[in-house]
Amino acid sequence: MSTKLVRKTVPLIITFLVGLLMIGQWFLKIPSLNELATSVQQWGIIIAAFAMGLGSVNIIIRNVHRIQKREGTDWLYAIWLLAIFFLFAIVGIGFGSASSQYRYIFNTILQPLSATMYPATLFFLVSAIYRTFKTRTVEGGLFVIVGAIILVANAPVMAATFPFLVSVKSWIMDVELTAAYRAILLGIGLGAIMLGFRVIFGLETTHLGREEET
Amino acid sequence: MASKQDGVWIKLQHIPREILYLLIIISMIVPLLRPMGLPITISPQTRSLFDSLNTLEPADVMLEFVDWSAGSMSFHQPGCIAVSFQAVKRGAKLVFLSTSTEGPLMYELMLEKFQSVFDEADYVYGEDYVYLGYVAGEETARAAIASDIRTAFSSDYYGTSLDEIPLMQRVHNYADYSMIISYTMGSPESFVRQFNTQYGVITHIHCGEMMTPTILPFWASGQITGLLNGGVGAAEMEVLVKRPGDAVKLTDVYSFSNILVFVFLIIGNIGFIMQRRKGE
Amino acid sequence: MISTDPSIWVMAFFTIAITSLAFRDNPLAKFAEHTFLAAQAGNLITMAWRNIRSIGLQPLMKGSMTMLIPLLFGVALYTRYSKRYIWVSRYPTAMMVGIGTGVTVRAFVEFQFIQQIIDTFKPLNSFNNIFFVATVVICLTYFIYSLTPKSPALEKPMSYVTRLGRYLMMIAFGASMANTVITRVGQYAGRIMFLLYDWLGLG
Repeated sequence: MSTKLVRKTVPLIITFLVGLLMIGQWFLKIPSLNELATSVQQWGIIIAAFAMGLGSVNIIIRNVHRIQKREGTDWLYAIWLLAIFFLFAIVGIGFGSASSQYRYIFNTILQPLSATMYPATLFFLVSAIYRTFKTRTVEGGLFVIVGAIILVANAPVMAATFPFLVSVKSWIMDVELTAAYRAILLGIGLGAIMLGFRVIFGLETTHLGREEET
Repeated sequence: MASKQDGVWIKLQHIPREILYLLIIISMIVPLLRPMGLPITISPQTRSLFDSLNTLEPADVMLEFVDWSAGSMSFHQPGCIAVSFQAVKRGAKLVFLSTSTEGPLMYELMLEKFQSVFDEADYVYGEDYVYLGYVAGEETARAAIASDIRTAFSSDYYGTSLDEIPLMQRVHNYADYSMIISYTMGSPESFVRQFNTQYGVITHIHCGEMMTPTILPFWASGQITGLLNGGVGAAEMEVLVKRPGDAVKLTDVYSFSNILVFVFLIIGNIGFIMQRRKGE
Repeated sequence: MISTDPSIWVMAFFTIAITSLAFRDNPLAKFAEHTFLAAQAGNLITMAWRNIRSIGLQPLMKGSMTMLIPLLFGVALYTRYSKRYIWVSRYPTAMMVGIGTGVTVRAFVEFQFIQQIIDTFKPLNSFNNIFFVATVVICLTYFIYSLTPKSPALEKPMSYVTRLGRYLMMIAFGASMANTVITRVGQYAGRIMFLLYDWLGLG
């Protein structure tokens, strides 16, 4: 069988057939089609579960290299990283995620880290608001003024002291913002549908990787 | 960096970021140590969710997607507790599940605070509520749950087969869900797509305030029935169900911190405008 | 009273270490970052294994041979680490992309177009409704890049319309920015609550 057929064409056919099956389940209310589509969705769940391991494999490979290189103190962090990774993996798979052991290490280690990592971007946001959001242009001015109004209106003490702020905020959110975002969503929706059909019909092949791998 | 010779307007634009950060932290500590207990205005989106919950009957089954991560636990957990409290008060059956990897442990943490409500209402695990665990696949998993929950779960989180769980014996697909609510910071619209658009299931969302702008158009069109707007929405829900908790405590923090950020924004802009006028 | 539970102290340490990253890069923050990455990856593996076992392996053991297909496809994903067999990983990728795209795209027309457009047809009997419809139309006009009028007489009015669309969107983005602030404040305040109440016992 030709290399290109096996390595590129067949995967594209798979994407096409499976995509069409999902769309068919939506529009054609045929019980047997629905059953087949639901089974394929179940396959998708299992494959997605395997895909979750890809990042972990990458992490292991990269950090083993860091340990082998022994540059500065970098390799010490890599050893610690691998130790924590295997602790979670072994306890999680061995005892199960519902076990008290796994709950303990999750609540003690991952929960505070996860709970702080993304919220800590608040500080960068505050810095950006202070340094970058300036009234250089009309657009910038509108952005700053409305942002300032909503910031104040979001403060319950100000909303209680100046009740009209609640009405102003409601109008901006429920009328102006909803309308503007609706237009944006319509635009995004067009793009998403176009991209989706390009992927299903094989016109978009970036998900298959580089051309040299054919 | 501003120097001694620089005008006050330039100095206003160069406050060290460490000072800004410390002020933000202080603006959170003060109200948490000295709560003010200010009145909370109920938004139409929260009222809509509350009214919808009040239509639940004892035979109804509500799906609750515990999809928050530790990062948004501060408002998602109180929101879930408030909503679940109202559902339990109506006697509805609750099926908890997750499509987020931190969901199972977040559910366990939420249950530590909510178990007493289940006990007071004589709710029995397996008969009145159940937790199914995590399923991979994001929107694919949600689509599978909508069309046949058994394609996504063969047992509950603790390993009991679904067919051995009394509640799950009558829960199979969208036709058996009276309503769903998703507590998520990622892709709330996918729940609307897979449950409401396809099958007309009443769908509620609890997302962070920063996601509300993209979700509001769907609430306005009726595709989402109830919408909790982050921590503010969770506080409103706690007030409506008459169980003020952690979310209400946070509203005082919003007062201080928001005003502080507003001050930073104004100071930065005043400095900029005055500097531009002086032609420096 | 300050907590004597070692796990609370570890949680407080990690919270402060990650927060210190905002001030400046330091060894504690780097240590915490590496711990987070590792724990997150370990948690992913744990949850993935549960799914593979309960939805794939257990039904296979009970005789459902069709489960071999997704299980083999899943294993095939890992051929991406082999230079020679990397193309094999295209099969499971193609299936995942096909399912995901199909499941998302099929709902889009009704979800993001029909319902939204229907709701935009509001009766023009109030200022709010007129403003709403006008805003949607004007903002949509901003996105129609290719609709440049041939007639010079229309070019200037169109440029005003697109500029107005830009202004209206910036108003919406300003409100979004304020919402982002309150979200992050609410999230981080949860950590301050933990430090004050659970660690230092001040609540």
